[in-house]
Amino acid sequence: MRRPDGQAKVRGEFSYAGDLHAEGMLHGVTLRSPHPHARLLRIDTAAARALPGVHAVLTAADVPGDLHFGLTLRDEPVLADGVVRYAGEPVAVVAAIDPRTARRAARAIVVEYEPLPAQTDPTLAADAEPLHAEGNVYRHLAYECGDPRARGVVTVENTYRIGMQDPAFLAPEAGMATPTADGGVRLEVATQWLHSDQRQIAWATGLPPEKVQVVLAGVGGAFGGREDVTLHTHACLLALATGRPVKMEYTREESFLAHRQRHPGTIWLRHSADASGRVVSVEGRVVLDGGAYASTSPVVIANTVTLLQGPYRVDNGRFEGWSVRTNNPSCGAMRGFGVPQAAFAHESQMDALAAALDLDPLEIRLRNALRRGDTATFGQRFTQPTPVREVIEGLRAVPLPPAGGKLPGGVGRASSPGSVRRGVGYAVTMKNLAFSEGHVDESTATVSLRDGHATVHCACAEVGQGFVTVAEQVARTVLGADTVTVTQPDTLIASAGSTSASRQTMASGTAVHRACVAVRDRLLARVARERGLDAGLLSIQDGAVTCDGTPLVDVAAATPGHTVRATEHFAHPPTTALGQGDVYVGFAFSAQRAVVDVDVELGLVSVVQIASCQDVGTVVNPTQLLGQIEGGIVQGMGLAVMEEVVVVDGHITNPEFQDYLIPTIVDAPEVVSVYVTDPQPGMPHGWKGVGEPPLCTAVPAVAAAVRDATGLPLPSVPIRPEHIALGIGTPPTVTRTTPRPPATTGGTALSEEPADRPGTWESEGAAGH
Amino acid sequence: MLLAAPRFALPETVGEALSALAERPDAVVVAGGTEVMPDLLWRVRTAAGFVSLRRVGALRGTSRDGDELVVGAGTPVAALVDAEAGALAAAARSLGTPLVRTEATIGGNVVSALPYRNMLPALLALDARLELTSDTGRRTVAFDGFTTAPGVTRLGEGELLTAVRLPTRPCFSDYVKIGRRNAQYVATVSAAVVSRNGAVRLAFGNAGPVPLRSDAVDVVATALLDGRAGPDDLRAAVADAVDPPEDTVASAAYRRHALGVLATRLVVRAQVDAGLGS
Repeated sequence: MRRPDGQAKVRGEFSYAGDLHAEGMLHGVTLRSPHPHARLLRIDTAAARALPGVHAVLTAADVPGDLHFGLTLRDEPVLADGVVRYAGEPVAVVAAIDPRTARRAARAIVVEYEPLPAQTDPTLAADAEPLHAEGNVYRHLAYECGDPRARGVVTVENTYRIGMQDPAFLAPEAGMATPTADGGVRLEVATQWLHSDQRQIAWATGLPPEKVQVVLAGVGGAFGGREDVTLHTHACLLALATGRPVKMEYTREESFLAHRQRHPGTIWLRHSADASGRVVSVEGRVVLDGGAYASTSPVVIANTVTLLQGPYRVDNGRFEGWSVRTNNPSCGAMRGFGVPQAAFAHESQMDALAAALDLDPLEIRLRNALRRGDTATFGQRFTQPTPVREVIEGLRAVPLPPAGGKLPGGVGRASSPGSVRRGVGYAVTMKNLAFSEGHVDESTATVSLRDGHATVHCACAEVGQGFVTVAEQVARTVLGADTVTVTQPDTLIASAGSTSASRQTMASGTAVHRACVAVRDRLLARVARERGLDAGLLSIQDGAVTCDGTPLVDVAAATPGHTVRATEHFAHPPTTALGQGDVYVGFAFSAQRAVVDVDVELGLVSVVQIASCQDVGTVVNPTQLLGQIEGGIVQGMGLAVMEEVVVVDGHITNPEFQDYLIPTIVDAPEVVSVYVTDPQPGMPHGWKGVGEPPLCTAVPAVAAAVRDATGLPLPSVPIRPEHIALGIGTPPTVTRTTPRPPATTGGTALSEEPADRPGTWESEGAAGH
Repeated sequence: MLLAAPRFALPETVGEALSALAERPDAVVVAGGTEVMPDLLWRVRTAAGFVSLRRVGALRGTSRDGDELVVGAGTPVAALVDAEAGALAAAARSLGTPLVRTEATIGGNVVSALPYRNMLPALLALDARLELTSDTGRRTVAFDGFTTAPGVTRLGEGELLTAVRLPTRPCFSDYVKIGRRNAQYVATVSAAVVSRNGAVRLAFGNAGPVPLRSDAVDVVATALLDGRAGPDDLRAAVADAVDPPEDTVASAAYRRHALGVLATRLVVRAQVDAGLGS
């Protein structure tokens, strides 16, 4: 079947949030701080208010409810409160009759700042003067398993750096808030998580949540960047203040300033292995720059730290990480949620180990591959399918592409075949699926069926990933429906959680499936009752109600005019805090091989092909699955070779698409995608999340291929042309060590106290005696 | 609002355009609009008015005048992708996207005068001349030296760039540029070569504040062409001659290095074309 919204999107007829319109609506704009850190001495809005056409000018003093919001810590003011902590922080909002007047009014607001020193170095932030009453450490975590001082014959260590990636969704933030007759407000907005928005808007407006209605408007991509509230609350406050609909729509530059980026990070890793390549111990330390406000920084750091082991069995290790507050742009959720950073580091280390031991890169990965029944460094047992070997073997079976193809540098024609070297790199990763650490992962769906037409109502935000297709496919399959409507998500039904964490097919797909099964059973019971048949013999096949395999009547004609409806809920088994059991709902595994052509002298890269073998549970919709694989790979290669939000002294220097480069179709590699299908227990048809693993794996795979072509260490992504052409980057330190078997075995010991300063454990020496 | 009549002139002849400009000395002259319009949208430029050259048919198209190719300043870049001069064609083909090439004009590229603009090294290597027209007549100046600083040219007040004149004498010419992406990117650096009768002329983009060439570089490039110098000599000469910017896209050191590589590769292509190289 085809995507229900596909044609409208391809034809340009799809209505995105930016297309929202209402009679008499006002336009809202935001005045933002030009300073990364400053005290607000005075705000004078009189001149702005006096302009004709201006209906409201709001500052922190005008927020009727709780000024603070946030996905985890509630440390972020709706409008700046005495201090601004990042360049671009909202200070005031204006509603006026048109955008031009609103912008003019925003410029007329007088703000006196006293600039303060900006803390922009995350490695210094933890010990620096607190930037906020909540302190500068969003979260520190540290734990050990087995004997971290165990050593094999070789030990490699290095420090890896990952740049800040922007979600770069194509439709900038937009929404329209409308006052409702009951004194509440209705917000149509492009978002990922309606109920989270509702809750945070309710805090600020002082309204009970039921008077804040959030409805999904057309979303043009999200990738995590819409998980946090941006203009949502501002639009609602302006609508309530003016009594009129207020539309807000960011420019591209504002979009870069306002939404959350992927955490840039520094990761130090030390791996020790025996002569056969078996990993004996892993030690790792992570610092993620969370920027000015918490967002999901406390959760992201746990992903990065716990998944430093990669999809490999690691019995001995110690792991530590900080996510910290700085005066840089705030970081939060982005596709992969802390794992691409870990994956880049651990896969770089696996290649360094393979090189030190003269082993094939796939062989060393096979020798260390996790198996079902193994225990993670953080104490969770892998009780579900764990097909690490299978994805590696599946990848190995994909033939290499022929020589030739598009040259590095593309349309610039600087390269010629003689100046190019080919490289091949591999990466294997593990991505946790769904919410973690005790956060309830659930969804609810209502399905109704009348005369063969099914209607699905669920709060799952369609952001492009294709939930609308999955929901329709399930309704057609289970109910034999001829036509299906998936209604626009809203907060009139229970929360579906965020469209993130590769979770919506599992959570909302399963809720829809359960609701469809309930509707089917009620329909069959009614048919059985009316016809005096045994309901146990009835089923739905190919759009017909059948009895013991014999078609009785089309579903569309089975109960004329009668509506059958059911609401069902789904929740994954609960997870626990780190160190107390199952931290994660499940995992997906992915292996990729990147083939690149590199013009070494100029540092230009052409990604020729990426072959992927991913553990997907079951193939729900082949086209959409391939879309996730291809999209994730292209976004991952973007992080590997070009995408970087460049922040200098707290200011984003490239907040637009001329200088923040994302891959074009000329840059996109050929993608060959094969799958391992080992059904996920507890899921209909054994399906599992697929959206994030391809990105996580593409980053290290492309980096490995460029290393293979150049022989350079390349410990940072994105790899810049000058890293290659000028050979910038420190290689891993390789030490031949005296083997030291673990003194103890098993067990995970958690510590929430900093063991040491962020950095490396250099003083302890790689020899580890 | 942008098109409010008193501030917006839409002349149909060069004469009308000059009159419109005389009436609105502070107006921005806009042709394809691929620089002016984004600047306005991003509010990095204000304008007291506009003189649009879009309907001035005489500014569009190419013709021959003796041994010169005359390219109307309003000719879209898309019309040059198959130009006889390889450097011109390659620079045109690698500019922006098809949509941008359809609107962007060669004259706009010249008057924009930013050091990374695509066409400039090609015009400099080809030794283009510019036809400048004003109420008092027409003058022709060398493109070499026309740009005096980023975004600043010797175009006089009330003067319009009406044509770019390029020698048609046979030569080998080529153009290359590099960036951090494989299409639709601003040049980190670029370079063009013209090789005619055994003499090489090189020009560089984003190698300094203005499009840049140097006699010293050309002497070494010519020596490299006929085997009297090595690639390292040319790289050293280029490194001495250029003064590239340092910014968040690339370091000056990388740009200097890459310009030397591009120069060498272009001379090798000229060698191959001349049957001199491998």
